Amino acid sequence: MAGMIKMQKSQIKLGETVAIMFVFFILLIVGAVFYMNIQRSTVAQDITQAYELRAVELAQTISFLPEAQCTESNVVKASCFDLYKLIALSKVAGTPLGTNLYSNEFGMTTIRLFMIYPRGGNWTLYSNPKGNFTSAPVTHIPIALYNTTVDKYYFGVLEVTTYN
Amino acid sequence: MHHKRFRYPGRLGKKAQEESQLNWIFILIAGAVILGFFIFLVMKQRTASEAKLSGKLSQQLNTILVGAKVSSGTVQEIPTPELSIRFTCNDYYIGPASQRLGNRIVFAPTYVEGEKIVTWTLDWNVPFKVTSFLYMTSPLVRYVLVGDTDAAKELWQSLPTKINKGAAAVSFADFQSGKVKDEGDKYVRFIFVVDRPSASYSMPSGFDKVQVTGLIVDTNLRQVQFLVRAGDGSDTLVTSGPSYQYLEDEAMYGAIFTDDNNEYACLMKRAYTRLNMVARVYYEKLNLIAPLPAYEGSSCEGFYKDNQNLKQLIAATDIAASAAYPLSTSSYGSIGDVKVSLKEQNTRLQLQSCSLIY
Repeated sequence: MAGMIKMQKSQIKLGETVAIMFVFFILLIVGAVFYMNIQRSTVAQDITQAYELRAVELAQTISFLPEAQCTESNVVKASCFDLYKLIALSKVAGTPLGTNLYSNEFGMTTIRLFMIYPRGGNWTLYSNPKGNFTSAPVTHIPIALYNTTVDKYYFGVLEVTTYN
Repeated sequence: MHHKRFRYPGRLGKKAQEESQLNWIFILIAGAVILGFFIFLVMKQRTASEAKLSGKLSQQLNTILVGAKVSSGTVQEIPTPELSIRFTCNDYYIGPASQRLGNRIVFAPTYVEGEKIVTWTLDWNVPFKVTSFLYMTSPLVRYVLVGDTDAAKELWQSLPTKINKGAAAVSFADFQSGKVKDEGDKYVRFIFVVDRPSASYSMPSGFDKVQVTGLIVDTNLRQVQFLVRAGDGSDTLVTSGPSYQYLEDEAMYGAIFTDDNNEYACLMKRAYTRLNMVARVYYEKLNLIAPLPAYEGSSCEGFYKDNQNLKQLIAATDIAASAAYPLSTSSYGSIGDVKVSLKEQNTRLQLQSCSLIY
């Protein structure tokens, strides 16, 4: 009889320990899930930030493209885009060879040029949109356009759409 | 109870012993599970933080590369954490993180290691600017320039002082007599600038444990030829891959900084593809401005409309449509002629107060 009672007592003890362990692991799992959720939201924020940075990076990449920069005897004019080079680029970049080459540089984006002052046309410099994108932040970058034929500067905007 | 304990002392003791044993086994199992769980967590976290660090480093290097590319003609010494960067033609890798090089053309050894990287940027003009070449190396790579000619000395002087290139170019006699010693560098690259290149070169002794590669620069024919060790532990450098012709010194420097002939070919192929694209843009631009009232019927129009030099340049570099890299000898000849001709055209346009081609 006493043995039975002892056995029951130790079983209860074992049960208690198992319950403690169970609660401990539950708490651990809840903590882990909480931590993972925080991490997930941080990663999501980082991704959004990275896409925004990518747009600025792209604008910077374009501004240093020799096929877009204003030059005079190979001397580059700082912060200046050659209007006719950009129009020519919009034609060339649309060819299969151009699309193939520029997709390595610009990826899945659309880059458009708007001539703001004096009011002029708009040209799609590069377009490679993603099929089912979740969001497409648009970044506008003001630029100086140089018309080499009349030696005048215009005001334009580069519109960079990055597809997420 | 007391009575029973005295009646069956052995049986009760055995039970208590069993219970105690069972408790210890349970504690051990539970402890192992908890310990295992935390070890698993730490391992995962360690892998994740390593990946995160690699990603961060590769991003930071990306920024460095962008900055270095912009400042043409400059040499930069950039301190980095102890790392190993693996370069291929289109990407670079730091641990598990990789980053696309995009439009950047980076000539670098397969592995750039150490706590410092040296970058050098030069514009590639053919004759207009096509792109900026970025050369990258680390102090762990020693460049030994072998040659007695003026061209060898000139080449040694043209290389940045910040790279590990020794005090002066080594004469071929000194190289053969074994005066070049191992100085504890991890990588050594022998650059032979000789008039009559050989198919193989015997290295001085003492370089058994050093990773050695080489390059022959023929400044007369303007050709480069990569050299590799004949086999593991061999003291002979033998040719690897075809000879590559170069028109501009910038392309030759690329061969000095790259240690693999296939990577060099891939990088130059990308460079010529870009040249083709930039030439197309210039050709289109000139055709766009030729019929404008400012130029129609003027002397300028003739330079712009259907510019034959640019057309020739596009045909010579049309790698995608016609030939692979290396280009044919006639293509190189054609590019050389076009370069001269376009320079002349640009000067004449300047004299006639027309818009310049480039």
